[in-house]
Amino acid sequence: MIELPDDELDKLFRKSSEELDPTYEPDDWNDLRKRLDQQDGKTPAGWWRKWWPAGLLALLIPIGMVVYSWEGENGGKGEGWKEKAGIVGESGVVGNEGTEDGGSESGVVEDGGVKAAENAGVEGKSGVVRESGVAKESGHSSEGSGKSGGEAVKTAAIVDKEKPTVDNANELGAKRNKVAVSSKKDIDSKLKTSEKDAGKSSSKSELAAAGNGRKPLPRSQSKAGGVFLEPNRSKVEGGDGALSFKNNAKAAGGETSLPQSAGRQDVNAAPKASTEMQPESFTKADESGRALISAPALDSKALKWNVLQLPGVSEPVYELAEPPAPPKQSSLSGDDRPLMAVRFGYSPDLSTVGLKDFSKPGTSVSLLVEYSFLPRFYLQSGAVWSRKDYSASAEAYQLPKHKYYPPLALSGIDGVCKVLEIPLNVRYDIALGERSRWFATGGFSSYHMNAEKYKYYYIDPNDPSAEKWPGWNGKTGWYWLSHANVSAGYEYRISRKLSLLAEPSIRMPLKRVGYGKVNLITTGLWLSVRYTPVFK
Amino acid sequence: MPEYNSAVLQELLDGCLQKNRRSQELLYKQFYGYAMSICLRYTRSREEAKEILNDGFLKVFTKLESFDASRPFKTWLSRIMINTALDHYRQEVRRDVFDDVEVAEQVSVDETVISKLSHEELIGLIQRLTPAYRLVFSLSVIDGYTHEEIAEQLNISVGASKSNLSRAREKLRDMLSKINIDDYDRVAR
Repeated sequence: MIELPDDELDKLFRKSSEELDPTYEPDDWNDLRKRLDQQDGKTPAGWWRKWWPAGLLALLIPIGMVVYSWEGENGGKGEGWKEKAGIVGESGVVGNEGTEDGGSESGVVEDGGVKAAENAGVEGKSGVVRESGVAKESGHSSEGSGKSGGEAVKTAAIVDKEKPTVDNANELGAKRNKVAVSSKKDIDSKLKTSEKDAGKSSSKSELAAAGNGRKPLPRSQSKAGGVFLEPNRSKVEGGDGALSFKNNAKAAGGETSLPQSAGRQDVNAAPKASTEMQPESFTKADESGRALISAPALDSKALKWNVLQLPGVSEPVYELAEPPAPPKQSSLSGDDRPLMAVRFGYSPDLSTVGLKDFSKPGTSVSLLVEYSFLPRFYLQSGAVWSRKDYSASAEAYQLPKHKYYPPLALSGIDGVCKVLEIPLNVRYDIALGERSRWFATGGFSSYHMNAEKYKYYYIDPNDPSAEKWPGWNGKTGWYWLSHANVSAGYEYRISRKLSLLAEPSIRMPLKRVGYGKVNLITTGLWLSVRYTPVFK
Repeated sequence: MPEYNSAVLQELLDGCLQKNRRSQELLYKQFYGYAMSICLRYTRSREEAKEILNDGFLKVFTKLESFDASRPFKTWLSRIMINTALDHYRQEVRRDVFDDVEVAEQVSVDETVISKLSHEELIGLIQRLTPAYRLVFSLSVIDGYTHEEIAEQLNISVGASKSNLSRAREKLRDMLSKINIDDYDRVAR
């Protein structure tokens, strides 16, 4: 046992402390790393605070595209509907809506026999076909207009002049009614279509009544196109469009004009004729007590007739006028001006310090969103990812000074940087054409220097510092509103929603950026695709 | 881990300046043992030492720009660790200060026992001291602070610093003397 003096005791513990080598615990570093991440903002909350503009943009772009494309579909459907109605309206076979005559809703095809004859005699002009697709026939009129005009005239003349011809008409009417009954279903189905087009129609009941009382006609047994056609129905509805008001009217009055001769020229006249003749024919039709074709129901309904071309007809038949094609929208109206657009672009990146000593071109890719806040004006923003290669003399750089860094004798520095750029620009369409336009853009950009690599070139190649400090790698973060953007370009629309753009641009430095604090100038030529959802 | 040469160390420091996480981790690993040995003798447990260690390195990484490259990094690091330990002491530990010092009797210890003790065990003895004794002993004996500096750091008188050091030594001798060779042999087997 010894007495341990103070100095020996101190020496003992001093030596132990110096030679102690605690085992490394990785968990200790993990705890410290979490604290460092928290301090540097690399936690989820820190990332959100740092990147929320980009995140918000990435969220709004797809949402906006979905919403606007959905609205565009709904608007398109409405437009299509309107166009369809227009087509129907322009087909020349349109029935006015409403049934103003009280007893005219029967829509019954007249029977044959005396009534048919009478009707034929009186209602030669009563052959009215509703736009709704109900075939309304008089005794002879449908036949007359369905077949040849000559036959119709002959029949009409006979009926007018001689009662015995009523028998013939009766037979025709009977046959017609049979066909009407058999093809009632077809009429019903087409009636629904035409009703929809016309908006209102009470022809179904009329058709039913017509089908019940109408006699089949020879014409209806014809097999044009392999389908039993209902006479007096417009060609649009699948009928043969035989009936002609004008012709029947003329026939009733002893005129010898042919239905076919009316042709297109009389298309517009036919409605007038039909309108004029309707009241008389309706009256007589009512008086006959027979089930009538929808002539009563057609009261106050102006119909437009086009004479149809029928096979085997000696007289020339004019086809229905084709509905005019909807007007092409060569340019959008003010109401249809799209408000938003998305652009995806590529550009070679030519970056320099001082517009000289251009290095090899880098690459830039952009995803931009444009919003029109005024006619011809767009607010533009998004994200641009670029790799910038540049080279400059050492004087162009302002390297940070380190206490343990001796000043480096550099002649030049090569830099390679990956940059995320957030532009905020205003675009103005200078000249608008039907499919193209010229535009100019101006604004500002903020740079985020993601990865910077510098290679140092020393004045003296044998400088010992060259081995110790060959360069620098790292990142320096955000530089807000560091550059001003100017560009002008040309856009050509290749479809309703897509267009191609060519846009030379330049970015001028407002601040020095990067580890080397350089005034970085970037030029390029943007080649972009622009998507414009059409909506109202 | 072998100590890096100066160029590598400066590259690490450069990376730490740019908040490069990898550089920070490498620097932490390189000086972990040195820094932890400092923290162990100023705390009562490994957990407490780790807390002070990480606090110290956090200061290193955030105040690296103030480091004078003309001086050894180790010296700067040890100063930071010690100051962090003192800050910890001031915040959490009640000071036991004795103005009047009783001169203790000299205690005899077994030299053989001492030679068998590991460094960890000896440092463990320091950890068993009361906070005031531990700090004064470490600052004065191991880190070379003068009593005036210790008095200023701990906000005590010079006499109190000296007395705490004396009592710390007595305690350590007492602990060493209680470790007899029989107990050691039993543990060793």
